[in-house]
Amino acid sequence: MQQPVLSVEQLNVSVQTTNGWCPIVRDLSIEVAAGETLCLVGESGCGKSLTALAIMRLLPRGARIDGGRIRLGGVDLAALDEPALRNVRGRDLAMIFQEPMTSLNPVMTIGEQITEGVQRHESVSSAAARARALELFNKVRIPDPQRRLAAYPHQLSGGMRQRVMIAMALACRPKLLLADEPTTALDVTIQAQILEMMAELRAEIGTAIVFITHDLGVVAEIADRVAVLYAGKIVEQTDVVSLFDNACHPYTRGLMRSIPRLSRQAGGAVVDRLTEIKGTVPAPTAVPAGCAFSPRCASATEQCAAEPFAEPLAPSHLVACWHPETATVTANAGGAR
Amino acid sequence: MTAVLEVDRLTKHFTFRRGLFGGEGAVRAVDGVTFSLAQGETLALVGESGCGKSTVARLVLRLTEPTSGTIHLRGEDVTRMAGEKLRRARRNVQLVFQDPFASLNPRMTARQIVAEPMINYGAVDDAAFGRRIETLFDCVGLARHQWDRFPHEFSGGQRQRLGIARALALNPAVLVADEPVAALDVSIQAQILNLLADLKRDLGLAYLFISHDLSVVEFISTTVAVMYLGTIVEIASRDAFFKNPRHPYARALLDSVPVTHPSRRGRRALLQGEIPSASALPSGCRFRTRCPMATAICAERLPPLEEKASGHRVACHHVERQTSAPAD
Repeated sequence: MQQPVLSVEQLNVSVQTTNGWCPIVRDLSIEVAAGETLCLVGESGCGKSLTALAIMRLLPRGARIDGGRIRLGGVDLAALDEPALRNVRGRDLAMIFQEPMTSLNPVMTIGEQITEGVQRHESVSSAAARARALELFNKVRIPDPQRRLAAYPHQLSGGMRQRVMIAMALACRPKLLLADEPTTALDVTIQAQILEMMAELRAEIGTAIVFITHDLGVVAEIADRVAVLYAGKIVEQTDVVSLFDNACHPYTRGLMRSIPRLSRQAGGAVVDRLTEIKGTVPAPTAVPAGCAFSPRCASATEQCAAEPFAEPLAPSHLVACWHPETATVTANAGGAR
Repeated sequence: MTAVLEVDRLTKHFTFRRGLFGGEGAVRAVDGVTFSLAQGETLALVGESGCGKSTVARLVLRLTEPTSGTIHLRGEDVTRMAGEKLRRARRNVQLVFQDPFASLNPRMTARQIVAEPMINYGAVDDAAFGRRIETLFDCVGLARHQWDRFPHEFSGGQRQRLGIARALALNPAVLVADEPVAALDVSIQAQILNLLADLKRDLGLAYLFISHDLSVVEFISTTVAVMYLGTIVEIASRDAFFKNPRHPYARALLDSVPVTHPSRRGRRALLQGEIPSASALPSGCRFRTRCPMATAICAERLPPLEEKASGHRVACHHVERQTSAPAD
């Protein structure tokens, strides 16, 4: 594998509660190469968003990095001070969020917001910055770009705002783009457009992408590699095809089985019952000892009271489970039975 | 089968003034929607944000006054009903919300939340009442030791169970569910969808199920109605719809659903553009601005919702009538 753009080693993040600091992200290690998309998948509270914010060094008050290294092209972000970080963010590192309206300035035009970022990092004239903004608007397929540069955020639809955010994030051709559920708030037809556009831009610019989502359909659309998180830990990490063909962690397999699938995509008849994962995700303050998934797991034994290590089952297929399943995945509504 | 809910040419226009001296404009949120729902059926209203699906739900619940059209509940016209009569009729149609937390009173215990609708309708807290509450909690899978907890002590899935128990308290004929699993975690969605399917079968309910998620709709529904800018553009039985969607918008919507395996990427034509504003509707067919099949006639005349195959109605000038479904 080529030199990774981003390499996170043993990242630990915790948040402050009334009973002291509570670990949210535990011993997380990931690597992403140029032009590659790594999906972080998990349910609410699994620590996927805090991981992204920790990489950005934008953790809110009351959250802290307890340890670990975050290397972006040779620089340890975890060790940088705020002025140094400001030079990195926006230039080498950019982030887009689920709700673009909360990250756009409502009293500045779209054009001003894009050129501001470009001029902050590069010594270019306003005319050149404006030309760059226009070019980006064409790339993210905003119709009538000249007029849209003068628009304010509230004058745009949700889909258009997300296009603006992506244009802004890519303005300085960053090495790494962090995308936190960027299509979750959008309608499906718009989501499909945005995902297609992101895949094209990644190929063109060669940016590495960490894409956070809870939606396995989105993973199937965009990921090269996938890391599945449960209660703050990566339970399985592999390339996207083996995740869908040969998921080994009981949690991953449970997720795969529990989502309803269109019969026209999965083949076969519509099921009359979905396969459930029993129980609920534990609260971060009450994560079970040992394997956090064991209370919900059908294969759990006494051994699961001890924390499983992330073992490679195949080259580049890591699974943290004492009893990994290895038969072919049976999906809801089709697949092998 | 007799219909428990019948909606005929239901219309809701919201009016507003265009500026200080401007004339009146209207947002045609719902424009002539007709459907009926029988016991044991689940009619799914599908569409993107702004298509009017939630407004239809509010109209059916009589939370919003319709501009025109009629609503019949168990054969009774409830469209203009008011006062005590409306209150009595209303117990037959109950709502399950998208966000269970926002719809549960944080200062009430689970038991109080489920008991409240019954007390509102004159029940007294006696032994039978206690048994009824026990049955309701059993139905939705909440344990006895959870009765005295407050909403914040429950997880998202449990809160939705509580919301469902409250909706069932009055023994309604129709349950309106507005995106009931959209806010839930993936591993919890399956639990709630299974629960809704079981309850419908066991209690003989009818669901008006509002969703943007076609995979969920295929699992839960018996009939599918696709809405676009306030009108139904296609309505058919679930199997007919998913085997052979006819309206170009319905096809595009299905094509936009993310793939189930990475090997299926990129096998589709994406819909271009965005949904127009409901206050400035295109002339003729409302979908024509994004439609790959649009021709001159689409700008001139609004296509009526016509039967194109048995029980399969589509509003499109370019969909031919057929007697048997072709292989797609």
